[in-house]
Amino acid sequence: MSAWDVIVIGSGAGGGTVAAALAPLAEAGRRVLVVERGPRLGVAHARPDELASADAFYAGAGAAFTEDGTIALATGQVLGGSTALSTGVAVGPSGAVIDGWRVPGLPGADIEARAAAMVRDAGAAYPHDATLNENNRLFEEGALRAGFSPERMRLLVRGCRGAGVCHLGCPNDAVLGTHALQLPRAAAAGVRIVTRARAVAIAPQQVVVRVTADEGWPAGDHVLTAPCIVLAAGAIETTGLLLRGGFGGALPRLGRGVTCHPAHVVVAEHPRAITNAVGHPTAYRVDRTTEDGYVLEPCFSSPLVTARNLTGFGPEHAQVLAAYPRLQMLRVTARDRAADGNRVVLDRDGEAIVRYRLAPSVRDALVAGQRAAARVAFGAGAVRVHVPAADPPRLDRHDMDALDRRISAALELPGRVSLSATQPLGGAAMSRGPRDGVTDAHGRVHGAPWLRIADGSLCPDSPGVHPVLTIMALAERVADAVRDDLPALAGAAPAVA
Amino acid sequence: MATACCPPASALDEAAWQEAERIAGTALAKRPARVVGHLRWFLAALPWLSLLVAGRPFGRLSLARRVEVLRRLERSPVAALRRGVWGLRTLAFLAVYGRPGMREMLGWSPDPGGWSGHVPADLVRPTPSRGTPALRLVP
Ligand SMILES: Cc1cc2nc3c(=O)[nH]c(=O)nc-3n(C[C@H](O)[C@H](O)[C@H](O)COP(=O)(O)OP(=O)(O)OC[C@H]3O[C@@H](n4cnc5c(N)ncnc54)[C@H](O)[C@@H]3O)c2cc1C
Repeated sequence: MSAWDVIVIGSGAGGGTVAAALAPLAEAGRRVLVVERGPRLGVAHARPDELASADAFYAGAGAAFTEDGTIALATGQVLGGSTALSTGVAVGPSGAVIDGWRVPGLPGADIEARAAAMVRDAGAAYPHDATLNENNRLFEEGALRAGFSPERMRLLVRGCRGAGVCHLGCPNDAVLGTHALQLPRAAAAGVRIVTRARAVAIAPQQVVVRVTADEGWPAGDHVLTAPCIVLAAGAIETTGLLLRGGFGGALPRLGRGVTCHPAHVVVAEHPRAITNAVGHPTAYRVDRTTEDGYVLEPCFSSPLVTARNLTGFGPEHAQVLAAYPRLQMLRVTARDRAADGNRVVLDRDGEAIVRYRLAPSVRDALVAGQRAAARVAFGAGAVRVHVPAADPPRLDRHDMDALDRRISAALELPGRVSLSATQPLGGAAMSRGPRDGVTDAHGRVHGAPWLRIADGSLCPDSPGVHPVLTIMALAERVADAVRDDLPALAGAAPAVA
Repeated sequence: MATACCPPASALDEAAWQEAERIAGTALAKRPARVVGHLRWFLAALPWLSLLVAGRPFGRLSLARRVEVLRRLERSPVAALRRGVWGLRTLAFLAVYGRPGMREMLGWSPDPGGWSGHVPADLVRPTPSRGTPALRLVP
């Protein structure tokens, strides 16, 4: 058994931020530990490899799905969590949205201000014209022609060379995830980080950690104690740990209200090769969340991911893939809202899994977004567009006037269309009390003051597409409370043998 | 089945098939039992489903008819059937496109050097944006 003052489970947007914010504690001699299930990313990829990266850096070896198998869920399982594989898009939280959550003691303005400070601190910047590839330019041109207002987004990147493989782990370490910013700061201050170490069980002020192939600790189970334990294993795993720990009895809403921002990829074929795989994939967005519930962005993925993202199969599918150097890609992301039935549950093996159904409003948003994406792509000069909710998915230019008929909600059938999600949120939401949620506004679990939550699971509803800054700002507040509460918690902690 | 889903599979020689099968096997070994179980069930049901839909077992249909049967199942009102097709075609893509050399064949040669890497010069030279009259920035 080893004793610590604070143990943080998970090192992503939430855990990494908490670790950095607790650096002063470590400097003052407190023992702070970060336990991360995945390996270190390293700058390992002289030759980026889809299968190897999926295997090494993603939960479920890159093949995790919702319970009914209809939405692929991609979350990072690596030091830095999903932030280490992200494109670094940094969208500031909306204070009004956060105020709308009605969590007592959670002022939206505070979250906005913290996120703004983080953006300044990281030096996030808008990409310069000269670094935009044609996949992005065509998005901008097509969006303008289709009557939309594209906006350029700020990126949390430094020294981006445009390798175009963010989702495989940047070979130039340019993405400013927590692995690059917060965790090195924490480590320099004396915070210990152990990787390939999975928290498998929690009990009052105790956590069992299973270390596999090690980067520091002996393999096997380790029982660790601390007066304060912070769960930041991501919305799915954090909720799973709580469910396995038996917290569901006292917290009836544990697991409920999950959102994930389901997304489609629309693929367009141009008559000539364009710069698509080189350059940062996502510099723009068209935000239609208020009007139609979706966000439209350029994106670009490697061939295997593209093959999976395309709906359908057979000769048509093969033709689209064969046109890879001529492809433009657009992502349609729906801002889904928290619903009771969408929740994290435990499967037969005790593993956390997401039970999720597309609400009619989300389906409509995805359909509206696909119509918009097709208009943008044709507006940019595409000769053909491959749209999931069309049958057949291939639309030619002469279909342009019939987009509303050809792209239909009746064809948005889960299991037929390829859907994916990279932003699972909720499950252990902040709330007024134990009957309507899991924690208070500072991530203190109701009824278990030694236990804190500091990741995407805190969100009672979607904060909007691209949640990373919101999660980091929430996590920083959690860390503030840990620092304030630690003396009292340590005083009350049982002595460790 | 693989060829119906992923026509480039028809060009695989013996060694390439073995490689494709190895990739599919490795991937399946990492999938949850629930997912593998569903795929197994779908494969077992396919001959009967094909009999219902096309009047013959799947294995005795021409390639074009196989594609047609899978298309019908892909649009089925029964979600489990749609998922079955999706799962199998995804596995076929993984096996075929996941083989070494395929990505280059498709035109994907990622280079850590990015803009300064391997891409032909006429493609890499970033040109000024024709762009937005007044650039809008996301806060
Ligand atoms: C490919 C990709 C691209 C993205 N791009 C963007 C973007 O550009 N902008 C944006 O705003 N958002 C983006 N997101 C979403 C964003 O990164 C996530 O919403 C955010 O990181 C979630 O933060 P988190 O702390 O909840 O979880 P994560 O960041 O996922 O961190 C959870 C960590 O906990 C670890 N863990 C899990 N279980 C255990 C356990 N039992 N024991 C120990 N450790 C455990 C995991 O390995 C992981 O490292 C992207 C996500 C992905 C996957």
